[in-house]
Amino acid sequence: MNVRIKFRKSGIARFVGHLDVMRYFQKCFRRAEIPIAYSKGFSPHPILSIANPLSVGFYSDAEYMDVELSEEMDLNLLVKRLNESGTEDFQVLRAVKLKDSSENAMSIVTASDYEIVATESFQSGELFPLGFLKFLERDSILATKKTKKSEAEVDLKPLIKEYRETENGIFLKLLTGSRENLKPDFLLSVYLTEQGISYRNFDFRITRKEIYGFSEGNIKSLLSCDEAEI
Amino acid sequence: MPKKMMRKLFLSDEILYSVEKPERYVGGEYNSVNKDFDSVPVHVCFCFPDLYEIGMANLGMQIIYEQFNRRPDSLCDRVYSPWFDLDKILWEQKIPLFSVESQRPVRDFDFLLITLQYEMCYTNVLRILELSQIPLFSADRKEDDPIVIGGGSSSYNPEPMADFFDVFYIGESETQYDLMVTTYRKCKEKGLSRSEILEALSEIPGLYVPSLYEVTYNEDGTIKERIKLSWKAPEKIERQVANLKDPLIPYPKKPIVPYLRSMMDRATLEVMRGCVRGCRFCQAGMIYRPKRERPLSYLSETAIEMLRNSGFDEINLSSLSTSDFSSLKELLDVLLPYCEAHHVNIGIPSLRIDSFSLECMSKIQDIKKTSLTFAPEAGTERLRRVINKGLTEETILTGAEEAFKGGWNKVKLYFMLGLPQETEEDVQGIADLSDTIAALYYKTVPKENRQGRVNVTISTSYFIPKPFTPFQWAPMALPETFLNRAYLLKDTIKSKLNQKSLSYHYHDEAQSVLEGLFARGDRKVGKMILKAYQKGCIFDAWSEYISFDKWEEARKETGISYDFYLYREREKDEKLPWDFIDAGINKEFLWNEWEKAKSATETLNCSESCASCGAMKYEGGICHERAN
Repeated sequence: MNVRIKFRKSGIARFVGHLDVMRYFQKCFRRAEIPIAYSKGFSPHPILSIANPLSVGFYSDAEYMDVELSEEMDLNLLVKRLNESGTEDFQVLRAVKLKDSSENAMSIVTASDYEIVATESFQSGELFPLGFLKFLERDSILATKKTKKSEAEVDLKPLIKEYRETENGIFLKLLTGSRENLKPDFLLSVYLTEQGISYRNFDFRITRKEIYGFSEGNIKSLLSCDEAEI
Repeated sequence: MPKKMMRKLFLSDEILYSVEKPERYVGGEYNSVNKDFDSVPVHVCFCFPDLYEIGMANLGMQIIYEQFNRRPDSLCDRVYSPWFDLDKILWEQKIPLFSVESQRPVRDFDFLLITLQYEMCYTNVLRILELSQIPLFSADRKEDDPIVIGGGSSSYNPEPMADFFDVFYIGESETQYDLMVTTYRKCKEKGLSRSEILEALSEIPGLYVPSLYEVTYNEDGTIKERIKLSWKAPEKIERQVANLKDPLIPYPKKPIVPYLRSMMDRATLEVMRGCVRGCRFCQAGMIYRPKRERPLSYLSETAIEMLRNSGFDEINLSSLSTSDFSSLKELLDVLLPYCEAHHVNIGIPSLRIDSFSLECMSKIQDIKKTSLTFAPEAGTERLRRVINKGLTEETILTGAEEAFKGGWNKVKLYFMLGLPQETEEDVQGIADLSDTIAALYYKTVPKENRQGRVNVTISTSYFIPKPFTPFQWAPMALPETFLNRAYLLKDTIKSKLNQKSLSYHYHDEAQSVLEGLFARGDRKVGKMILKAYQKGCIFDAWSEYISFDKWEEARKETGISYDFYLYREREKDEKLPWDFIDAGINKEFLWNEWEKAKSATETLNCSESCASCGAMKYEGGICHERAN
């Protein structure tokens, strides 16, 4: 049985890197005595994969992982047990059963929602949110993107799907995944550098609010992609 | 959002986002205990004076953490050495060092317990004190400063660090820490001063308060006298020995699960303490006597409880010599099915190589990946009798043969160089033995079954004489001698028939010299440690960071002589810095063993025959089981 699980990252969980998050959940599943399937071969490991790594330091209200269970199980019970055997900083929110034909979350991720809020330490109030908002309105946003092999100038604007001001800061919907990927801190740093200010990660609180996948011709939240019919 | 989720961190985001691996400093790990600081009267801060990832594995810390946290009137937090990046920030911004759980300054605690697992952490200890804004010298501490207590294996000779600690706890923590808390509370209720409290603590067996004793020296530098400065202080400090059969003694059944990958990402099940072998170089084998086993039922239940509570995928059955654990087979009969069903690996370090062990190992390990370890320690039968390592060449070869038949093709051999009575023949014997083992592989395993060559890895460390062993009087070999013998061994190996199957590593000698100094040093050595610290020495246990130049400068400036502390043979009537500790092992017994070593005479192990070392007085363990 394939299951997609949605969880939050709050408190000190924001400091836990991607690989450590996986190791944390592998142990959490064991503690919760959830029948997770193991890979075959020499050193079997639990079949668990995280949809999209989150940068260290970001909060999240919507992270996703796919797991394969070796037995059927009530998913409300699964969520309850994971929370009882886990820390509050990694609260598990929901679990849905996936269709047998479903693709792994990693391969269908297309976009993410973020909220950016300036913290007390940020000194240049006029630049954020208003200055940044104007920046986002431009027809094209050129930036130098470094890859392992080279440097290239790219236009970031097509990677920005939505943007607007919120009560506390800025909301962004950016393309995410293996095909095209734009991180909110990179975007912000391009703007601030242009303004002659260096980007400091503690000046902003960045929270991922949702991740979207491409499924059956539509873009939907990962929780809704490939959900099995009951 | 529930209030609990907003746990307040001591450091600002600005700092946390700028250092490497902030997980080291924020806590919140599964099974960490977060009591409300103000709701308990006694606060203990436990320090492992090295990086978080190194300290997390420590079993002693986990036992003490459980011991203090399970009491309703106390809590126990952890603190580790901050890495260079945070250290710099804390120092420059005058931010006090803080604990991981409560995120409060260490100086707010009643007790700061620092474990001394190895001598090379001493400068880290001083750094922890200074970053915590606690005076380095015990004599300078004020009423509100925490009481600084040292424990762990290096505290069996606490004297080099005597000026910096208020108390040392000598022995196993399970026996007296509860009484210590109760005594402390009574003292506080009476409004006693710090010095009165320390005096009261000194009356608890096992607790040593260095400031209550003065040491005078002879002209030649040896100890003249130890003078008690308080009539309450005991003459001798009694090593504490726990009763492992007591079902109520503390044990970490809910081990903390770190987020960071630490050195040992596994559950540790201590099956027994002590060792019967009586190897003359081994301090642990002496200071943990008598050999005591935990009950089988306790172990099987605890193992499964630990795994259920933590989710670790590996469990280690730990002791000094697990082959001597009498219920090993029965314990594995319970654990193996559980572990197989739950995909948990079992690790059993320190196993003798015999047919039973090989059978165990093939069930729990992937043969192709692991190597078998033998520790002959010396290259000839004669020298092995000198050090009382009762391991004959026949036993080694029989074990190796069985292992090769069972499919192993990687062997590690541990030896020491610089042992007492060692000659060049003994060194060449190492090469001979290793070559014989390699040859045995080719003789035992037919060509079609081989996976290439056998890998025989030889490792030699520099022998360091330790307190409370028969070799505490022995001269340590000079570094030049150690190196010359290492080169000799290297050359001899190259000349062997199977030299392509042999590889050799030897340990760096300079660090061993410092270790040797601290192991058998007296209070005067403390001045050298302080000087080295002031020159910037830190993280000395890390070969990348130890600065031998600075240590050598410190040594010269404080007039500490290696000849005096290390390279001379000591006399029988010399007062040794650690004689004031009653470790339960008679000095007569140790001296007798030293004499026997000189004539290469063996002493049988405790299961075979009692040598009257003195450990029988602890009323438990092998001494009394044998009698039945």
